[in-house]
Amino acid sequence: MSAASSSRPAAPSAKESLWRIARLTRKELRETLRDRRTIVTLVLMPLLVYPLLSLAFKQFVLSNLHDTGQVEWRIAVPTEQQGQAFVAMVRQGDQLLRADAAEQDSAPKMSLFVYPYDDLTEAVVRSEFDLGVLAHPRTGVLPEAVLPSGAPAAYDFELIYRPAAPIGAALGTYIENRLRAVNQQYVQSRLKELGDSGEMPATWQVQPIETLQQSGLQLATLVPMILILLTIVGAVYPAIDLTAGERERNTLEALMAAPVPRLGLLFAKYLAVLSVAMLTALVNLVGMTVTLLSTGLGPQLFGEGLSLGAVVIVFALLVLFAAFFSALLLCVTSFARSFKEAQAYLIPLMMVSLAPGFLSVMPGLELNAWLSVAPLINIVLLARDVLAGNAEPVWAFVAVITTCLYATAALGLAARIFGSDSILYGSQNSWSDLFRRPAKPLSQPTLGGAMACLACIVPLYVVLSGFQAQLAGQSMATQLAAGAGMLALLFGVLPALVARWQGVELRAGFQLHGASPLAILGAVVLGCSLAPLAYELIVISQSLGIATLSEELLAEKMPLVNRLVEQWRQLSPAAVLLAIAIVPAIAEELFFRGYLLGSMRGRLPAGLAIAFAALAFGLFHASVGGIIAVERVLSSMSLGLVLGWVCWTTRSAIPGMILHALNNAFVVSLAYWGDGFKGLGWDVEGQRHLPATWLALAGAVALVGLALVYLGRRRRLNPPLPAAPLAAETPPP
Amino acid sequence: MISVANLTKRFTSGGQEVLAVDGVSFQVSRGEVYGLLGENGAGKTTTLRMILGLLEPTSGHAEVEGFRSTQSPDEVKSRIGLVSTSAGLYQWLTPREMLLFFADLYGTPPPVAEENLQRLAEIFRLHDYLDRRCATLSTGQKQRVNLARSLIHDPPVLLLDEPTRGLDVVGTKVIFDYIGAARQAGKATIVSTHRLDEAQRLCDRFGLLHRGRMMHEGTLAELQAATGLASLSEMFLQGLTAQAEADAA
Repeated sequence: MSAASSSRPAAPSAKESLWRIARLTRKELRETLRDRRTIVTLVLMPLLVYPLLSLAFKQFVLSNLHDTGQVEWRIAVPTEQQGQAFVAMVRQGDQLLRADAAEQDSAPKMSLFVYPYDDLTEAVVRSEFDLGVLAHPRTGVLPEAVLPSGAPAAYDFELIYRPAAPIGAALGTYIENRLRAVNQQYVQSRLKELGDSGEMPATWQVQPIETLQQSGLQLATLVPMILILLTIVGAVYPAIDLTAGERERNTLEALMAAPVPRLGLLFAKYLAVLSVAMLTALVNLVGMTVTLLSTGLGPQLFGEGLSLGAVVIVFALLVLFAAFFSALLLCVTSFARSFKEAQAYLIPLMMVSLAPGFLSVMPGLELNAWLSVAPLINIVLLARDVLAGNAEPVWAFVAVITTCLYATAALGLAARIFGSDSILYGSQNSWSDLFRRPAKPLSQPTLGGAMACLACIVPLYVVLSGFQAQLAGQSMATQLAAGAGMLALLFGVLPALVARWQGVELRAGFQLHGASPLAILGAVVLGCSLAPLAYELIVISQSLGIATLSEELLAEKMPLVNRLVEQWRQLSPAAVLLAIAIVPAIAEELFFRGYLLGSMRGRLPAGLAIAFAALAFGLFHASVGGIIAVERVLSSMSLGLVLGWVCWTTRSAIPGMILHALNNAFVVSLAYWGDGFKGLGWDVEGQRHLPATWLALAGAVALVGLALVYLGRRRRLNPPLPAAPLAAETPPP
Repeated sequence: MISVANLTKRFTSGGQEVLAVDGVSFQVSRGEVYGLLGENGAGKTTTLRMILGLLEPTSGHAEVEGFRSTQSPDEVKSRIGLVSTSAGLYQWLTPREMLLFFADLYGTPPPVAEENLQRLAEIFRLHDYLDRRCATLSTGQKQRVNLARSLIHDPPVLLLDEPTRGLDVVGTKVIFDYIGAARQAGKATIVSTHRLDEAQRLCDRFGLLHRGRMMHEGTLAELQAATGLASLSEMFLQGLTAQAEADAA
């Protein structure tokens, strides 16, 4: 049948499309803002919570303030006479300091209490008093003429206070400074009497400057965290309601039945979430500001930070944070089929998102080339730097652009997922589905099973690595055997057990089909050529500052590495190769490519599946002997990408095992014959760039290897493998 | 107008493979009302979703006015009005806002949408609650709004999935009347239902589905001639018995 003509509406123009998106956004906003749950988050929170919080906060802040004039200090003395002597000394010290302009704050209010009991210390501990003073007179030690007026004698003062309490520490310092001033004045006057000039060998003036790092309660450090919290709080509910909510109230099918592009729908939802997030954050910010100003806490917390300029900057940052989080939350909630499921996804995300907020208070962390492209971290540091007035324009620009790109990517992914038939009609899986054995054997692992296995391996890897590190005193043979055994257990035995339990046929499930001789040859060629390129990536990472192993640490560890290599040399080379090259290669390929990547075949696009498996592989290789070596991630991920492509192309994990084992063997040979390689221009110990000839040769050989693998690829297994779906689906009624 | 050829859909659930629709073929012409009949789980709704392009067939294809649902989903969707009993409403919107929103999704110009809205409000007697929030409507009122929602863009093809479920006698009559009017207007209509008596009065041709397979297909006269039975209910029961015997064997 040929396509018939029909009187359906013509495709809308760009202008009409924009108007339509505006109308769709209006509908989403109308629906969201009429919901009383939104109003609770939007209005009641700032109206009620901030004033209540401020009451509690004020009490806490007051005890931290250095403006001593506002606080009454309660001082206990055993007798009135001792009290007078103490006050006289302190007053004289205070006058001396003020005469030197060393003290400009108003004098604190000191209330003196006579406490004639023996438990003065206990009374201070009980916080009845801020300071207890015992004054022991030393009559006749000094001439009366030099004593402060009202002080009948010289005194030994015993000051009892709680230095851990902010007010106690401030009071102790205050008193000690004044008593020290009295003593200094006495020494100088005595020296003058003896004909000395009274000059001291060292004098100084203090010029305190408030810096970002010195103050924990600065606008620049607080705002990024507040913005993260507020924009998440504002975006969470509409994001869930406009995505998972559509499915839950059964409006999703009608929506998907309409001839409107998903990206357009999602963009309208995004604009609605963004608007609500910004509105919520704005109302909260206004509520917070009004509360701070009305309670008098604002200037004390932020100093001069609450200027009009700062408000404008905070608003601009708010747009940026809201744009990022609205897209991210929409993306995550698009996977969910119900409110509960969406909440389960968002809680970990929110916790993870708070972590970068703490970076803004970390001293020495600056927005640079790499951090300016790190999601969320870049805008947190940008917010801090902008408010502190020291933002670098180039990195600020990069941070804004990359954040917009991340938001676009998240929105694109959301449009791909939202309303797809697995979300539209897929039933929610329970945990028991992971453990349920199917009636018929599966030829492909389930995605849920593979992810659950990955989630188990991560903590087990950390724990077993810790146990392995405790074998340091054992023989090298024992250590190598334990290391190889751990990898075989984690990446081979554990996934095999999970797969068997889930009824996955092991040969097909781990992609252990044979590969063509050409593909095997290609893998061998790649295995012999990738190590130099991977090494160069490590050096490049280090030169770009993406490194956690400093040169000092490397130099420090080098004798240990040399000792290890010496110990290896005592063993049979075959045993070392087996433990370090072959067993890890087989085990890791079984899991990362055979099982994990295999579970994604046909369910995710090839690029995404290979990239995910490579990322997991790269992150596992970030740990070297219990030390995190970030510089290894890039090279391991790149190797993972090649291994993933080889497995995907050949539909077999075996060529990857050969490639991986040869690559490992190459690295072992570097350790054995480091001097020989150094003669050829490869200085492993010095961590220097490889000569161009090395790189050109390795690159050319690797290309030949890739070509051979491609020519020897397997196009399709015959018969096609039946597979479990991405999400278990139930047949619709 | 609607052409379904060898349509098949497999699902897998908990490692079990389920053949929801198995090689179903039929055609519906302009002005014809086709009854897709079968018990719960027979594959009726899955078939409708594949025609609309909401589910991708495992094999086979469906066409609407010459457009394949897998190749030109937007062309197909724009020509179809889907009435589903499970469809919900936007609780915080009024029926008027919701109907105009859907008209917008289908690209209906606002004046035309307003005209269609008034016509449908008249047919389905929505005037009394057109501006009340959907959350406050009764089940029957919601069902009527849902019907109006699927027809607001005046589609040439109607897919009605259990359209009378939840409706009282008056509501059911309104649906019957509308289907009659749609036939007169030359629309191609598929009505999916398990109420065979209702279908016998309403439809011109029938497809009897059982476990995803088409047992019988044709007009009532053709089916009576083929089976020697008078009513759809008898035909259906006979099919079930035959299937049970085959399963036992």
